[in-house]
Amino acid sequence: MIELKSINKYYQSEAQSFHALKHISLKVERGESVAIIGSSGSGKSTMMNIIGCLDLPSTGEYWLNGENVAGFNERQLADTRNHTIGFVFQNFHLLPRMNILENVVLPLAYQRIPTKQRKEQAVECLVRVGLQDKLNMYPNQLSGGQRQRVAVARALVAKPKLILADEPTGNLDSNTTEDIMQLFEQLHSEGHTLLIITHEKEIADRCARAIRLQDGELVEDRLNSTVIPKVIACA
Amino acid sequence: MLSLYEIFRLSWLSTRKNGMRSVLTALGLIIGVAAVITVVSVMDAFSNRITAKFESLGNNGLTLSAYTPLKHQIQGRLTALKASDLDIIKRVSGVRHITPVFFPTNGAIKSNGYESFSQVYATTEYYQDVNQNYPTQGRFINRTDNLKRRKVVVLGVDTVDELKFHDDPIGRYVQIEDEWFKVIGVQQRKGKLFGLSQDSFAIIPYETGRSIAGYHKEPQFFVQFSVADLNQLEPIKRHLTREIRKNHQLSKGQQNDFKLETAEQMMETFNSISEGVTFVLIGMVGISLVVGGVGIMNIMLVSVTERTREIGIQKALGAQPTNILLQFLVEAVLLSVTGGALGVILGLGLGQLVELFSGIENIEAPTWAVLLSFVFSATVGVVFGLIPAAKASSLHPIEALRFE
Ligand SMILES: Nc1ncnc2c1ncn2[C@@H]1O[C@H](COP(=O)(O)OP(=O)(O)O)[C@@H](O)[C@H]1O
Ligand SMILES: [Mg+2]
Repeated sequence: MIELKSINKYYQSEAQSFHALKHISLKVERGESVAIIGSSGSGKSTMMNIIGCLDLPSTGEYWLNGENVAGFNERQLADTRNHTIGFVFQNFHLLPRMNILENVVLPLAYQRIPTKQRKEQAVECLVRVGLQDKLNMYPNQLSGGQRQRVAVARALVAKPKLILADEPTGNLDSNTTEDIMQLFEQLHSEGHTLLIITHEKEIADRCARAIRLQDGELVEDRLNSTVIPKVIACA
Repeated sequence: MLSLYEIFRLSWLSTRKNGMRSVLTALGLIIGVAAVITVVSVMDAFSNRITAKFESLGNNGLTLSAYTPLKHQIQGRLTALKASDLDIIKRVSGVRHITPVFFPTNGAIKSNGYESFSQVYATTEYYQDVNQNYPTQGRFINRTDNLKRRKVVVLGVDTVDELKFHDDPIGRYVQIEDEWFKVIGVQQRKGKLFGLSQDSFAIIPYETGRSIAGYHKEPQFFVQFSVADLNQLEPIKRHLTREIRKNHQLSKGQQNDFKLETAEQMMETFNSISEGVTFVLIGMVGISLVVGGVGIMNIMLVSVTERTREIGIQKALGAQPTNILLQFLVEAVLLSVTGGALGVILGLGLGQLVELFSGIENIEAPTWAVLLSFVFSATVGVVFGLIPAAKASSLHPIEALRFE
């Protein structure tokens, strides 16, 4: 599903150039759950942004579902983010002026789907994360755990194949972390491909595969024996 | 694709959230539109009134007055009509009523401690026929009053009011230039023209006027006359122009030193004035729209910066650049059209206020002016919203998301 071929990423800032990703090559099959670990500043988010089509690599190739993303224009990149990828961020990134339902509907609003169906799909996802009674509330009326569940619902609503989560539990306490992780595990068991950036070892241990970045280099790639890898042969 | 309703809802939410700021932003536009609506509706009421007035005057009245070209005015050469001009007009066949008029004084008219600054006219008994305006009380000045230089006066109804006679004014005395005049008549009400009272005047006999103005100089008079047959108006004008040029010894090529005007031409003069006002107005609209537009552009740029992160989120969720562009464009248009609407309301209110205090009746904004205000406001929103919206839509998703 994902193939990175010798990716380099440089950040240009005031005459200096920062080499954030160094010759990263990586293959992730459909249905895998991968934890990305590494110390702060090691390039985890940079890599995820490239995988999520939010940013382009400086050199190297990124193939997503058999297509070279480098050849995509703005419109195709946006379409890919909309249809193929669901994002969950550390600080939720909900839109403050919209209520919960509207937040979850938003990705569908960028597609040609009748309004009624959008709403049905969004409610379905909110039921799934247990927030069916909060539809008309606003993000600032919810707790951190609830907000992240909204974000998960929003990531799911367009039925993407790939879920990318950048430290999704970084701002949550251990109880709510458990809630969110159970949600992710459920998604994985349903066949979603999952990439989770995390600091926490317990979380990394719940993924079938873990890769470690260090100073922009991929230094470790291991399978976790306690978790049964769930690779769907071909779908 | 976001439905238009959703875009509107989003834009409305942010406009409402920044209520005060939005109003201040649109202030340039509000004031500009309000000014335009006010002036247009006042001018419109004005010209309706004037047109009606001139129509009621009839087109058969003519005025001959002295005319000094600007060049000569600067040189201090003032032209005047000659007494013999009057005789020339009298000799023209087809001329019905004719009367000379001049202003013998600009002083106040006094009575019992009350004062009126109504204009004093010195004229003859034909004045009432030329102007089709007759006394409702008492009588008009007559030939004998004129010959004997009687100190009698006919007043307009507003002048009567100003002088506060408590009972019948006929037979009472008023003071003009230290002379006592007996009130012999009150003229029929004429109403207002150009928003000004047409009933504030005092009419005295021509020769009496000369005596109080002093005989040492010829009065600066003008001549009012009417023609019997309207169809003869143009030939009479041509003939008179020729005769008076001869009388004034003007050589070929020299400019007329007099003006021969019909009521219709006076209306044309007014129309050309109102055209001038319209041009000034267009300039005003232009400036206010630019000022208003820059205000809106400024606030939209601020708004884009404030919402950088939101834009990043929307892009991460798959918003196309056109989605973002449209969203901010609609917001700018919403802002400018709301401003335009407030301006229209304010303008209508100001129009009513002018009506209340000036006495010009039926001040209403013409529909075209209201529609045009909205069209212009919306255009301003699109034109000046384009740069901020383009800026928003071209933001890089990651940089937008990282924005603090
Ligand atoms: N937009 C940027 N401009 C310049 N440097 C950046 C930018 N984004 C990230 N970096 C740098 O790249 C490195 C990797 O960042 P990041 O991928 O966010 O790390 P991580 O997510 O692993 O903490 C850091 O040193 C960071 O300072
Ligand atoms: Mg990071």
